[in-house]
Amino acid sequence: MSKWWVGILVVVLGLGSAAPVRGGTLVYGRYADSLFLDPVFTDANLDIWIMQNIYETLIQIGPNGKGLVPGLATQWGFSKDGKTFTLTLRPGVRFSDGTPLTAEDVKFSLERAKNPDNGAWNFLLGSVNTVTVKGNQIVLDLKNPDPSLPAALATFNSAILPKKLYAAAKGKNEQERAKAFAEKPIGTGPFMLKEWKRGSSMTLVRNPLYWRKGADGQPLPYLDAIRFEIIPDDSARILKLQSGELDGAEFIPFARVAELQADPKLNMKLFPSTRVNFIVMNTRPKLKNGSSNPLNNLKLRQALNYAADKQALIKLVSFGNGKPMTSYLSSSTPLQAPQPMYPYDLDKAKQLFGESGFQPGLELTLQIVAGSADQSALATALQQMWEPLGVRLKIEQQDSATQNARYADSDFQMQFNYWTDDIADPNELTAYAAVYKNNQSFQTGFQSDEVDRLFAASQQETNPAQRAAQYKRIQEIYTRAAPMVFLYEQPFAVALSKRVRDFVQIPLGNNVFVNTYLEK
Amino acid sequence: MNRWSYVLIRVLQVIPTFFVVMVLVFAAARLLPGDPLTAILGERATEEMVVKAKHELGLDQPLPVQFWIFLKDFFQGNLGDSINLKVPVTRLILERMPVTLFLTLYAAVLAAALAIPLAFVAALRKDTWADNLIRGVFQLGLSMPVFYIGLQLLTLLGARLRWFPVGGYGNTFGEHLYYLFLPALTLGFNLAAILMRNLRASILEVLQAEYVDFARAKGLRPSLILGKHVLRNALISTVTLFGLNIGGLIGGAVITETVFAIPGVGRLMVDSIFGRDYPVIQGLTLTFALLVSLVFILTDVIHAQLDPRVEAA
Amino acid sequence: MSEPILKLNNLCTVFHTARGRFTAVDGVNLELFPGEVLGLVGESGSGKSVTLRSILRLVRPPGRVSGEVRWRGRNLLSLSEPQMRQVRGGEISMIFQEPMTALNPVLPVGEQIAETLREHTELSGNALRQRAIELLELVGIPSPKERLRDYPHQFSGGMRQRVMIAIALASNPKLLLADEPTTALDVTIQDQILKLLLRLKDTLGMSVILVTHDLGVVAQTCERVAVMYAGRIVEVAPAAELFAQPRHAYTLGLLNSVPGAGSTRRPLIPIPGAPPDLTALPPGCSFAPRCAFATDECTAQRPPLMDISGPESPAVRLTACIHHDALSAAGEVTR
Repeated sequence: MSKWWVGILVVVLGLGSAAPVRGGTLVYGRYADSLFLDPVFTDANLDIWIMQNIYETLIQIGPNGKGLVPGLATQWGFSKDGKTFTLTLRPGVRFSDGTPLTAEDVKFSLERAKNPDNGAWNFLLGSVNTVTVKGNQIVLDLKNPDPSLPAALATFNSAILPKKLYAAAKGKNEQERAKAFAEKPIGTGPFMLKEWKRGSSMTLVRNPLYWRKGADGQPLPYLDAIRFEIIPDDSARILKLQSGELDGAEFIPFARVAELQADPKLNMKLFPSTRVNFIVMNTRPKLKNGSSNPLNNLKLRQALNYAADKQALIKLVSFGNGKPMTSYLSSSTPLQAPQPMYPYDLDKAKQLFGESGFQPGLELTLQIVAGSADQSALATALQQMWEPLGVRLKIEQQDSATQNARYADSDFQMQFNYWTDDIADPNELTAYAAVYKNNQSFQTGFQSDEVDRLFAASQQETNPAQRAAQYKRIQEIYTRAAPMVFLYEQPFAVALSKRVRDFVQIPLGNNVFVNTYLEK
Repeated sequence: MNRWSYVLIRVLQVIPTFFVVMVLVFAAARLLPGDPLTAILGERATEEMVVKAKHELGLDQPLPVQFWIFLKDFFQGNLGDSINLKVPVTRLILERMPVTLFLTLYAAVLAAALAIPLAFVAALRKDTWADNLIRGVFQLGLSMPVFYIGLQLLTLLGARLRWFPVGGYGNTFGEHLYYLFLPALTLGFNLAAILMRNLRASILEVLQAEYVDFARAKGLRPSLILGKHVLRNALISTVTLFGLNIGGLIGGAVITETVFAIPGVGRLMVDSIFGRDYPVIQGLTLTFALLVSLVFILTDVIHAQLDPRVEAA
Repeated sequence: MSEPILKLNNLCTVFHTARGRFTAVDGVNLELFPGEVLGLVGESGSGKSVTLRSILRLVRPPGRVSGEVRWRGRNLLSLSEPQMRQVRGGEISMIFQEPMTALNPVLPVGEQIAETLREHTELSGNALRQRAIELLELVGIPSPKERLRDYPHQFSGGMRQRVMIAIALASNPKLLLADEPTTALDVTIQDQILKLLLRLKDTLGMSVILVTHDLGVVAQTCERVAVMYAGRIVEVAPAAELFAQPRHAYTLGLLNSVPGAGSTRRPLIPIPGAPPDLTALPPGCSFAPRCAFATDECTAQRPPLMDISGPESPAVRLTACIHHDALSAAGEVTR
C-alpha cells in the first residue's frame, strides 16, 4: 500500500531534478569573432547568429525553429485588405538599463531598419510605407499586402533599439552613431554585453530585467553568463571541448562527428539547418571572356545533375551527415515543396548528354575556394563522376574574396556556393536565386517570365494555400531549368557537454541561449 | 663615431624604406581582385549595395587620390577605420600587437634558452650520443611544420595530460606566461634549431682558436673559459642570425595564433587580407615594417657591442 | 753547478690519428737551470712547440703525454687538473707566436690581464687595476692607464706582443715558455722584444725556454741551446760553443744553411732531403738518411744522448751523433 506514494515521490523528485538549474557560466567555442553588433548595419552571420540574445524582435521564431511566436509584440494581424498590419506591444518590458520599452522605440527601430540608406537588409521591410503609434499599438501602413511581413519582423534587422539612448550616441552620421552605440549595446534581450576582447572572447551576462519567465516562474535566462571564446582552429576547438575547458563548440568538422558521437561525455548535436550547398552554373550563351558557353544548353545541365551521385558526395564530404537537396529551398524553409529532382542515373545522364549535341571531351571549368578541403574533395569527386559522360572538368582555385568578386562579375562557368536563410520565409532565397532582376538569379542568367510573375504575385498573396501553390510552381520550373547542380543540405554540427541542456541553433543559424541551463 | 650617432643614422636610413613599403602595400592590397563588401557579403551583395558602399568608403576615387588621403591621414596619426570591424585601426593594433609581441619575444627567449646550453653540450660532446641526440631532435623539429608541432603539443600536454591550458591567452601577466608557454615553444622551436646548429659550429670553431689555448695556458678555470672567452666569440655570428630570423617569427606567429586561439595581430592580418580590409592591411604592414626595422637596427648595435672589431662606418 | 729547476725525463707525446700513430716528442731529456735562457731550436715540425705544450699539459687529444716533467720537486704529469691550473699562469707561463690570434679579440686587454691576476693572486678592485697598469708599464706600453680599455686590434704588432708578455708575467712566474715570440714581427721590433725579455728575466728572476727556428735569435739571447730534430734532442751546448763547433751533423748542416753575419760571403749549403715522416721514423738516428757522415752503425740503433763535456768545455755538452769527432775535422764553421 505504501508503494504508490513512493512512486509519486519518485516521480515528483524526478520532475524536480528535471527542472532547469539556475546559475553558472556557459563557455562556448566559436570559430570566429563577431564584427559589429548592430542589427541594421551588420553584414555577417557571425553577428546575426548571436544578436538575438541581446536585441529582440516583435515577433520571434518558435522554439526549435518552427513557426512564429510572440516576442515584444503580444498580438498582430493584417487588416481585411491586407494593407495594414497592426501589432500590440507587450507591456512591462524594460531595456537592460531600466528604461521602459515604448511604442516610440518600435517606431524608431522599424523606420531605421527600412531606410534604404541604412545597410543591406532594408529590403526585407520594403513593403512598409509608414509606421504610426497608436497608444500601445504600432500600425504599419503597407504599399501592398505582404505575406512575408510577420517573418520579416522576426528577422534580426527588425530588432528594437532604445530610441533615446541611440539618439544620445555620438556621431556625425548614422553609421558613426551605430558604431558608437554598438560599443555598449542596450536591448531587451535575455543577455547584456559585459566585455568584448575582440578576436579573443566576448562575455554576455544575464539581464536581470528580462521579461520572459522560466519554468520555475522566475525571469529567464537560467545562465548567469555566456562566454564566447574564439578558437579558429577546428582541432584546437574540439580539444578544448574534450578537455572540459569549453561547454560547447560550434562548426564541428563532419569528419569528427562520428568520433564525438562516441564520446560519453559529449552530446553531438546535428541541428537541422537551412544551409544548402550547390554549384551555380552560368547559363548565358557566352561567358564573360566572350567564348561560347556550353552550359547554355538545358540538356547538358540536366545531364550534369543526373550524373552527380549526391549520396556519394554526402558520404565523402559530410561523412553521411546531410541529405540531398529536394528543391533549391532547404527542407527547413517554409513553403518548400519537395521535387523529383535528379536522382543519380548515369544512363539517363549519358542519354541527355548525347541529345545535347556535344562531343565527348567537352571541357568545363569549376571555380572553388583555395584552402577549402571540402570544396576540393567535392570538385575532384565530380570530376570523376562526370568523366564517363565525356565531360572534362577543370578545377580553378582562388581565394574567397576573388571568388566573390568574380561571382559578382558573372565571370565564371561554374562556381561552388552555399546559402543559409536569414528570414523564415522562402522569398529571400527565391529573390536571389530565381528572380532575374535582383542579381541575375545568383548570377546564372536564369530568367523565367512565369517565375517573375509568380514571385511578384506571391509577395502580395495573403492566402497561405495560394501562396504555397505559387511557390510549388516556382520550384517546379526552377528544378526543371536546372541553373544549378543541386547538391545537398547539411545540418549545424554543434558538440555540447552533457551538462548543457536546452540549447538550440535554429535552422536560420541563430544560437538561442534563453532557455539554456547547465546541470550540476 | 660614437654609438649614438650610429644608431641615429640607421634610424634615418629606415625612413625611405618605410615610404617604399607604404606605396607597395597600398598598391598591392588594391590590386587584389575583389573588395571588402563582396568579400564579406558574398552572394548577398547586390550591385547597388556594392556601389553605395564603395562610394561611402571612398573606394571609387582614383588610386592616387586614395593614396594621398591615406598619406595625409597617416601623418596626422590616423590609420583609418577597419572596414569590416568598424573600429579604428590604431585601436586594433594597440589591442592586439602587444599580444603578438609578447608571444614573439617569449618564443625568442625560449629559443635562446634552449639553443645556447644545448649547443654547448653538443659541441663539447661532439660526436657522442649526446651530440647526436640533440642534433637529431632539432633536425626532426625543423622538418615538421609549425602547426603540426603546435597541435601535437596541444593534444599531448594540453588535452591529455592537462599540464597546460588548451589555447587562449589568460588575464594576468602570470597567466600569460602560463598560457603562452606551449605556443611560444612551438613558434620558437624552429628558430632554436637554426640557432643551435649555428652556435654549435661557431663554438667548435672558437674552441680551436689560439686564444682558447692561451686562456688555458693562463690557468683559467674551464667554466670561465667557456662562459667568457668562448661564448662571447661564438655568439657573434649567432646573434646576427637571431636578429635576422626574428622577422620570420612574426610570420610563424600567424599560424601559431590560429592553432592556439591567441588574439594577436597575426590572425588579424590573415582575416583582413581575406576580407580585403585595406586600412587594416596597410596599418599592420607598416607596423610590421617598423618593428622589423627596429629589430635589425638593434641587432646591428648588439653585434657592434659584442665585436669591437666592427668599425661603425 | 746548481740544481735544475725543470727536468724533462723521457718526455713522449704521441698522437693517435686516423692516419697513424705519430710521435711528435720522442723521449726528450732536458734540464733547465734557474735564471737561464735555454734556446730550443729546430725546423718546423721538429716538435719544439709540442714540447712546450707538453710541459704545461696543453696538448689536445688525440695527443697523449708520457714520461716525467719535474718542476720544483713535483712531476707535473701526475698532478690533478686543478693543481695543474695553479701551475699554469701561476708558476709557469707561456707566450705564443701570433698575438693577434692568441689574444681574445672581443675582450679589452685590461680584462685579459685582470683574469690572470684574479686567478693567481689575492688582488682585487683598485689594487688589481693598479697592478695591471704597472704590468703594461713594465713591458713598455705608453699611456698604460688609457690603454687598459683598448682591444687587441687597436695595438700594433709589437705592442700586442708586449701585452701578451704583460699577461704572461702578471703573477710572477718562475718559468716563461716562449713559443717563437718574435717570428711574426719585423726585425727591428724583434730586437726590442728580445731585449725586453732579457731585461725582464733579470728583473724578475725567471728562467726562459725560448723556442725558435731562427739561429740569429738564439745567438742574441740564449745562454744554452738544445737542438731538436724529428722529435728528439740531438745536441745540447752553450750557445757560443755550438756556433763555434757543432757536434751533430744536423747542427752542422743547419749552420751551413743560414746566412752568416760576418764580412765574408759564402754560398749557402742547404741540407739535402726532407725531414722524416713522423708516423714512420727510420730506424736508428733519424737524421741518418740525410747525413753525409752516416754509417751502418748510425742506422743500427738509436744513438743515445751522450755527455761529451771534457776539460776544454766546462759546461755540459751533449750530443747524439756518433761521429761528432768527424765534424770537428770537417772544419770550423765561420760565423
